[in-house]
Amino acid sequence: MNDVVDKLFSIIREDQAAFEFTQVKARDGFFILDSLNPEKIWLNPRLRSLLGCPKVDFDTTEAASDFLEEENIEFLQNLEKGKYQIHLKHKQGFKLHLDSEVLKIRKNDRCFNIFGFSQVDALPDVKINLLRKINRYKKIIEGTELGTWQWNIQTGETIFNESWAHVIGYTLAELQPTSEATWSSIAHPVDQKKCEKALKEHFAGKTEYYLTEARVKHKNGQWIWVRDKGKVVSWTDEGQPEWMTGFHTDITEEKNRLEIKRLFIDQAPSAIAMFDKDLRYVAASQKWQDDYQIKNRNIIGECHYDIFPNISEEWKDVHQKCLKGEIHSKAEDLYVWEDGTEQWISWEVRPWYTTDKEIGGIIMHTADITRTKIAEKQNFEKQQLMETVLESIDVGIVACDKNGRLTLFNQATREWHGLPAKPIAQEELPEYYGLFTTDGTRALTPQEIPLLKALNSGRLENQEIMIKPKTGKNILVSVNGSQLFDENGNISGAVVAMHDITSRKQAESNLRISEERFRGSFEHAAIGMAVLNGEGKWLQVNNRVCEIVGYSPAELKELTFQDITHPADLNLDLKLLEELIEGQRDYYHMDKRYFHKNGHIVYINLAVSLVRDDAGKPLYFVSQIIDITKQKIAEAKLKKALAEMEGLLEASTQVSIISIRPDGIITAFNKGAENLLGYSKEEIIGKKTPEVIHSKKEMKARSLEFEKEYGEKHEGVELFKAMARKRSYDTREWLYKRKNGTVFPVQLTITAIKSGKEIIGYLGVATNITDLKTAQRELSNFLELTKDQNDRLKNFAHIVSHNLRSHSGNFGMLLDLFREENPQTKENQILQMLQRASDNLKETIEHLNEVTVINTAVSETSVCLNLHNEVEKAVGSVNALIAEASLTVKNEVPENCTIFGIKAYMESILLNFTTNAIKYRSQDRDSLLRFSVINKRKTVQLIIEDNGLGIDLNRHRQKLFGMYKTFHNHKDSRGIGLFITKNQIEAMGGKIMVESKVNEGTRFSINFKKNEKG
Amino acid sequence: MKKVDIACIIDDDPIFVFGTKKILELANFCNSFMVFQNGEEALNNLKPIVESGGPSIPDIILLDLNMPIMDGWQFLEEFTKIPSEQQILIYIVTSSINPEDIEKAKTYDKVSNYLVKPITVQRLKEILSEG
Repeated sequence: MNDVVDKLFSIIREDQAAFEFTQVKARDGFFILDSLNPEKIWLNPRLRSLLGCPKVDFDTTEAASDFLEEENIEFLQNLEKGKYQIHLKHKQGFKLHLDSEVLKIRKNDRCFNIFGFSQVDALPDVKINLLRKINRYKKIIEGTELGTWQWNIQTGETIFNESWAHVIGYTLAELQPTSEATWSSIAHPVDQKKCEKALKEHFAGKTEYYLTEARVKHKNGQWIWVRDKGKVVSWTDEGQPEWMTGFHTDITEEKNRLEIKRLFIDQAPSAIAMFDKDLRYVAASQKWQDDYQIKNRNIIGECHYDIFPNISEEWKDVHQKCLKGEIHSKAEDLYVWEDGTEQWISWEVRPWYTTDKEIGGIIMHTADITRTKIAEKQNFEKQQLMETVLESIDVGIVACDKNGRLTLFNQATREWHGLPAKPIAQEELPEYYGLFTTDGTRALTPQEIPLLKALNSGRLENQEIMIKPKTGKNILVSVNGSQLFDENGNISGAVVAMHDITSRKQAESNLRISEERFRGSFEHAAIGMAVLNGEGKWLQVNNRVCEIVGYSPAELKELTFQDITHPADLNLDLKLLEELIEGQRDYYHMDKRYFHKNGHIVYINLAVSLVRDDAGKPLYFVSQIIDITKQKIAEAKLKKALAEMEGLLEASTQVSIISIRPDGIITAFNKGAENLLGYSKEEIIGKKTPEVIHSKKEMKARSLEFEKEYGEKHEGVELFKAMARKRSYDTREWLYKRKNGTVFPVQLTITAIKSGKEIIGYLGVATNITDLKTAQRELSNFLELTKDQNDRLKNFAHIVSHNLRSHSGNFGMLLDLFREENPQTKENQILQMLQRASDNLKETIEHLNEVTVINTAVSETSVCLNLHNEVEKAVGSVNALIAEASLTVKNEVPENCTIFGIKAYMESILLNFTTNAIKYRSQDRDSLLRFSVINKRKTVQLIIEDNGLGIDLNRHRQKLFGMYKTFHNHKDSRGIGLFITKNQIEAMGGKIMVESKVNEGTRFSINFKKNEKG
Repeated sequence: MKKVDIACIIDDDPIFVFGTKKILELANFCNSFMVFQNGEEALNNLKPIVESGGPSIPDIILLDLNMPIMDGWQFLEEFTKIPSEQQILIYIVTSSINPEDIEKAKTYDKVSNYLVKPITVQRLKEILSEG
């Protein structure tokens, strides 16, 4: 190939025909197409200028496709000499329809086509300027990477840009040809109606913008959420909407994040994974699995290095360092996939610690920060000017010229800054627009201002700054920007797009905190946490849940909560769940029972909340589960005890039991209280204080008493409380007042009810003592009566002892006198009998007297008596009689035996028994009388036994100790002895018992008081 | 046996008075009697006699305890206050066998003995021999 061939323009110089052609037929320019190398064409400077292209080296050939609009190269090559209309591309992107004449030159087997253009009107400046402006906006829009659309409502023509297609996972080419149907084919049927409604409203002028959030079908088959915003930009002459333009953005993530935020950390939108010391997965978030395309694989327990064998040594180094306690992070890092795709990520690796404060492994956290791919500017077809979009978009867009002077400042930006744009010196910008570092502490330097940075460095990605307006709230924005070029490829300015990430940042920082506690907050949380799907199936459970129910996570995930819920609790649970689903409640709590894997019942406290999807359909239930078995068992015990107690209280139908709160209001009023007081529970509980059942007068009196005793003044309910506080309980008699106003006496005990040291109430237990009181009164009446009778008896005794005696004495005296004076009447039988009657009367009165004296003279002093000596004395005083009767007397009473008694009575008693033994001895045998003693605990028992005639106790036991009872036909028996003896014994506090058999003997047992003084 | 000149009986029981007088006569106990129905009557009559130291002062008084208006004890209380140079024997003669009365009688120096009714000739002779 020679030089000539290389430099296409030389053809013109060498070939006469070609030269003439260019001079005549190509006054406005020409280009040459070489058959050998058809991809490259040569344009003369005139044509270049016409197409708005900058000057280049004279011998430069350029890609044909840069200039050709419709016709392909092959078509051009095959054109023979003649006139054709050729379509060329203007630099500003519009199409030029040019008439051309073609000359074909053949040389050395090569063929050159020269396309000449003449009589082309130069484009008017106005048009050029407009086109330039269009182009600028186009670039701006490209810079923002918005998926734009234009729609001719009248014709149905629809134009989408490449970004639009990308949002739904396609390339634009895949969607061609585009029409109205393109959109309807991917729109969610439910949302379509919503969109139509919004459109109608917008067409009717009710809304400034058309704005909806709708689901569209992504290429991958999933529904994604987009926010669509648009505006009618032209109207037909008839006033019908013609062209409408707008943009849509993917907000799926935004939507999802909202949902996910409510879930646990492992569903966090960030990629987070937890590893043990050997880099085996302990846990990994959904996002992690998504991001690293390890979804649908059970990676837990697997080594990270096995899953990603190509991990670099650098990474491994980082891991090892972190396992030693270091924290590594990078805000931006490029990750190149095996297939060559690039991913910008920020990452952090830090160790996590076991409860023993030892490093248990590492947590890795990565975030995809790749904003978008490089814009594919070439594919913009017929980009229309869309100030509407720029103005309505909620992305702040600011552009400047190459000197940094602001040329665009859209609505969102104005709102954020709270200010209109104003020409201002660069160094004053941060102050004027309130531009600060993300933490809001420092104003940006001019070099840090994103727009200027973009202008100076060419490209800006994800710079985050804070806008602190003079008024309004601070906004955190992420700024992307790039330079703008004029048609000649010179820098003409810069544009930045600012995204409000305030809420995202907050969510992220919240998440980050949670993430750091990932292990602690979910896996090892003290309470059970679980995520369940709409059917009740366990999706995720933490360790605690497993501990509570005894299943492994894997086993549990095969079950639903219904499977392990106690049937009795299931209905309520399902009912609450239903209410939750229906939106009647946001969450619910309940105590319920699960069956542990090994069969026993565990009690739990359950808190359930619901996460819904965008359509409001339940997605997950989030449950928190607390094991309350211990409390429940304790509660059950308490309940049982309480029930028993309650039963007891209620069973006490005659005991009033009333409890009050510390403020005095009655909290319990049992059946007994109802019965006694005539009030019903309903009238009293929670409404009244005990004052209602007390007499005011009595309370006043008691209050005074209390004040006297303790020096504290308390009135009303306070008095009861004070009484209970003073002593652990206070018991005394009170009057209770019935509902009908009548009063009755009660014995009332007031106690404080304490929980620990705190007094939580007071209890008053009262019994009706009316009956007791009545009995007391009767008793005292009876005592009075008895006293009366006793007095009369005494009086009677007096009459006996005095008056009767004097009369009988008079009788005796008069008889004596009569006999003295009339000795001749000695033999008179009547007089003799009168004498005997007088004697008998005298004797009877003597006996009566003795008894009276014994019973009335109780004040006789008791002394210590030596029983042995007393017996000796009594026996000694009747020695003659004993000897005459040949009675053997044995005194077996120990010499030191003492009793407590009245000496005179003791003598009389012993003598009586001795003489009785003599009187009633048996003639058939040698008579024996024996005194002996049995020592009892409190008494001394004297036993007196003889072998005499005995007494028929079957016949006489009842009358044995009666007055004038004799049981023997004996000349000396008078029947007074045992009566008096018994009275004397009893007067000394003793007791006498008898055993006897006729003709065998008699045994008296007499209990005397022990001499307790020693 | 020393013969008593005047014996005074203070008792509200006429039978007793009658009987006692008989017995005293039978026993030839005294020369004359002085009889009063109660303590007050006795006091009213005896007081001037004793105070005047007249010849009709009784040698012996047989005093009943249980009497209307003024009983034996009250009489003793008042009578012992009267200063007297002559020795008057006072015998309490009562049907009361109340030990309290017996004990109380012992507290009066002027009371010589305590006799329980009825009195007999035999008992009367014993007293006189004591005296």
